Amino acid sequence: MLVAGVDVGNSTTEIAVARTEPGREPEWLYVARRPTTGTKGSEACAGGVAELFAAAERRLGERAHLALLAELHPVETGLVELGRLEELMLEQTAIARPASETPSGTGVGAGTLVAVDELDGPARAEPVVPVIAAQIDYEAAAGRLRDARAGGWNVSAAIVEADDAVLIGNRFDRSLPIVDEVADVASLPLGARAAVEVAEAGASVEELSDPLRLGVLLGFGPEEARAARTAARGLAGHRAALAVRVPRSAGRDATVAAAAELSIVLVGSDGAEEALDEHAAPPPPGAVAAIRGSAGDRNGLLDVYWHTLPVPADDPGFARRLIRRRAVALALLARGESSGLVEAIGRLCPGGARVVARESDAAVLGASTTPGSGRAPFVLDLGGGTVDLHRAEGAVSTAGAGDLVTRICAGLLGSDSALAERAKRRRSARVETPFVLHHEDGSRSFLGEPAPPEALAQLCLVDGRGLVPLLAPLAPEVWRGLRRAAKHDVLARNVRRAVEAVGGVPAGELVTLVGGSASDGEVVDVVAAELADLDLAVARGNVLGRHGPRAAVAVGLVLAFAAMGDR
Amino acid sequence: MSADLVVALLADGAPASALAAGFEEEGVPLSVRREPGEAGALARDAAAQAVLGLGIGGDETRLVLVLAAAPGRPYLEAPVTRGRSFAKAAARVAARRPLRLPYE
Repeated sequence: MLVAGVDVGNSTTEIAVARTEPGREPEWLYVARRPTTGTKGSEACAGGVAELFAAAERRLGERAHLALLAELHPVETGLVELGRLEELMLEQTAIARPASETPSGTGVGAGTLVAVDELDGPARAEPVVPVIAAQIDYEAAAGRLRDARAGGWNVSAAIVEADDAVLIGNRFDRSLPIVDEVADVASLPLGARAAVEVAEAGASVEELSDPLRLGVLLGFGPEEARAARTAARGLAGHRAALAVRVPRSAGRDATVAAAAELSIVLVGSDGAEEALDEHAAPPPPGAVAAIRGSAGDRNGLLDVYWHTLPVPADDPGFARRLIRRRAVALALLARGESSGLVEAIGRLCPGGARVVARESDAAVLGASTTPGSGRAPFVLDLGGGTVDLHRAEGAVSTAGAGDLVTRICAGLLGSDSALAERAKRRRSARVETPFVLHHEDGSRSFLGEPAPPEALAQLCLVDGRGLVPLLAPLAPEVWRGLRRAAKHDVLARNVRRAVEAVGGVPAGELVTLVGGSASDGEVVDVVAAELADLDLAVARGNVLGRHGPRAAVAVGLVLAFAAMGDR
Repeated sequence: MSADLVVALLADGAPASALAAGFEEEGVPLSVRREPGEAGALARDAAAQAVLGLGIGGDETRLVLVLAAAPGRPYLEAPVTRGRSFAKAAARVAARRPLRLPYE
């Protein structure tokens, strides 16, 4: 009989198709995977399963007669970033942004925002920050600034829409802080208080990244201290920046009040409430039953895990920026609704679908097909949404796995998730010159052909087909450290939590790593290092000796069915 | 600075002032000389003269950046109407700063 083991994970759905005959080993014919098409356990997942069945049928010329499933315990996972919430709050209070790759001058200047046309009128006593639109030629802009200063205006800084800061500074005042490439100068509130800072080349702003100093420069009162703090966070680590106080509006007070309540409350399984402290260690699985607050209200939680972004020790500017962003990645694991997935999958096969084993039993059976393993009593499934520790007594699941690592990488790189997913698995290099690559270990290599211009001076993925720019201002060594730290902070830490939740694993025991994240050698390294004190044999699964750490549960389901003797 | 770090050889009609402005904004020195010829050939000659091996050639239709180490084809190329942004990109190649492409 042609049967298909089906494993629907949070991120990936896998099938293993085999022909089974009583008294004989299964004949393995097809193993494949694709992204899961719905919340794990939901009927929407059947769409992805159907595509895998169709692909198997095209390959084998025959549809699987029976679908084999594990007992379903649907879970949902989600991610929240506190830093992003703060940025949204900030927009109502102040405009704060890094600016200019090529600013002019150094130091800080603050004053009232004025259109450059206003400088044609009588001089005012207070310092001003002219705003220069792109249609004003740099020669003309410099001339008007010169005339204004001669006429008694106190020009303390300038904000330029076009990439003209150096050109204007060279023709007006080389020492004056001028930032450029401010695309939305038309939306800046003229008459408002603004501050501009330019640091020396290679340095970062110091005054605008200091919340107290920024508050003084923009004239914030004590009740707006949070806005100053959040604005300062957003500017730290940049060479040039501007901050503008947004005029008071009707909705502002409410927004400031809402920002003050920016927090997440954890509700324990005993009903006790406690504010989430992003710098504290997450509690064990099962300790938090619900969350309230900025991340939305969620009940029925099985686990909550969070971690701040890793900080590079050898890049202080970038580290400061990250710390001040208050970016926290949060993963939730909740009971999901089981809504007809077994029936939906059953409709895909003539013989229907049958639940043949617990997921843990299937994982152990599948992992045990790894050559040399004998029997794999402890299986760590490092998936997309969860880390699951499978053993004879059942499974323990912890929230946060490969997807959370991807989110952290995306936060570090400022990229979308698709690029971050690739970046977390591939080595990188910086294109130093059109012909020289600087690798993660500090070595250099030469290119036979010049690197494409878009890759020049960029940190790039080296993926075998070419160089893919990551657009993050990081040295390859720094990025490698951050990438590994993200894997440690999520996967290795969650492995530790899972092991502790089951009361430990006996010394000398074999722990087999399976799941998509286990196909990443760096993950295997960080997990093995994390468990080093337990004296365990940590090995990567190689299911059926040819599929690596993939498809352990799907293969295990077929093995479980075969062992049942087709009952 | 007296050394010709980056050299531009420009025929009549090439936008010398836009080229100079782009390099000035990026803080990269540029030596500009007038010479008749076609953009690609001028760029190859310029690259051979430049200490950094970066040469720009320009005529009335286009601007070209050539690397002395790979003179067979342009590394960057733009119509003369994009002189300023081409110059910024070329200056960034010299300064080893990330480029902004495509030209705006």
